[in-house]
Amino acid sequence: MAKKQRTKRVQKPVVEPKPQIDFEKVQAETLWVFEQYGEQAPRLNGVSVLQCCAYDVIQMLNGTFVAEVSK
Amino acid sequence: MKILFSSHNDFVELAKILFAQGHQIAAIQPGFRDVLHGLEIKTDALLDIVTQEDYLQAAKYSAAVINWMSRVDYQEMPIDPIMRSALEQNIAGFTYSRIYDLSSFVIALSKYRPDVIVVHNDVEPLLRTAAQWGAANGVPVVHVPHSVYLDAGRGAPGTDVHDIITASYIAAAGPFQRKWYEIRGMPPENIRETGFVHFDKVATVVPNRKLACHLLGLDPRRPVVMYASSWAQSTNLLGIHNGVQTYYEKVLKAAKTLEMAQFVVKCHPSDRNLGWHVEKAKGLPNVIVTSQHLPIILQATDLLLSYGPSNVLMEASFMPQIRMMVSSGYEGDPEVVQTGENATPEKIAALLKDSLSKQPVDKSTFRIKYCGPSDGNSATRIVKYILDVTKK
Repeated sequence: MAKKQRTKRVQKPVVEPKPQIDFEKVQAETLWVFEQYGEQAPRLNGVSVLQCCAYDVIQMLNGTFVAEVSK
Repeated sequence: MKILFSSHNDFVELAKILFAQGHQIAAIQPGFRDVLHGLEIKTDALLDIVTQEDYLQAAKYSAAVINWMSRVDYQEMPIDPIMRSALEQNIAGFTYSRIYDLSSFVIALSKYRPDVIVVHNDVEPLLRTAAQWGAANGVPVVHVPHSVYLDAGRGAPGTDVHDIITASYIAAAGPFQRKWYEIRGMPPENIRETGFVHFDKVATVVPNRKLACHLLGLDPRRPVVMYASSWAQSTNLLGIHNGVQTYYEKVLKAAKTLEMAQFVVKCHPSDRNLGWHVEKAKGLPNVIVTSQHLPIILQATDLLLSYGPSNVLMEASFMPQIRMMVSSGYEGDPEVVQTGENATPEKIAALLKDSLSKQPVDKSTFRIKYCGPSDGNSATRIVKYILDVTKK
């Protein structure tokens, strides 16, 4: 009798749910973080340079999150 | 007086007037210095005066900030976990080079010490730094906005980076923009309605539709529709969906059914997505695509359809022959027809046809609301404001 051929058990791919991102909330929170913590960060000639990076950080985070939800 | 400008085309006119009056002109970026040099306006470039020692000082400060950031406990922040994780993983590395660049700029500002600073926004890193430096060092900073912002699709006031006000004074275009900044906390006495320099250029134009059509290769006997497209601004909520692409595809479908009309697709002058727009319009004989020649297109246009709020509607409000239409925005303005963001190509085509069949409406109320004084003298008013704030 022919040996029963074993079939490889194929593991079903685990589909992770897409992250749900509330962009308006994230945007407001990024701004909040940079305003609050930027106030406390070391200053140079009166300028909180960290606070001034908020625009670029928001762009970067929005890009990251858009990429995340569109995977 | 030493007057420092950010790099913006509209500021050429202001620099010309101030230089002729004997003031010393400086540009934040060397590129803008070169533009002004080309017009024989002697200009200093601020970033050129930074020395090796200054860079060393900037590096030391940047290291101190990064060191401080490494001690921040993000776990304690009342923020979305996905945000917390992104900040923990990326933020120090991402900001280091920016902090270094910006701190070099702070040192340059302190060495040059302008008497007044003029910026076209106060939110981009370099310009917000200039505005903060001015606030901390008793130097007035005049924000001459490059655009009249609307709230459509941006989130509530206070949630968008453009809502942060750092400059000490604002030269608002008109009453709408004055109110917009007052809502965001700018003291009314620090705002003056001046109009915008780029509206000066259209304020004095007597439209010559026939000549404009000739220059653009259009038939003046057929209607001309300008479609003002957009780009995804990734700093706010407009940048998180594909509305620009989806709506454009629907406009092209509408154009297919309106063969009698000639469509001029006007992309943003930054050319960010011009190629994509050109590619999509291939094979449509009644559509041309460009990112340039706005003053000519405005004169040729019978109907302007804009994707969302845009300065182009304000410029169009100077042209009596133009009917105005948008996907969304300006809901309180009867001069503008809204198609709705989710309109079908058929609905867009029907609305275009209907508007073209009607006479254009009077747009002076809209123009005064958004553009302010529209007599072609905004540059002179802004210059006066810049000089006035130095006397306070």
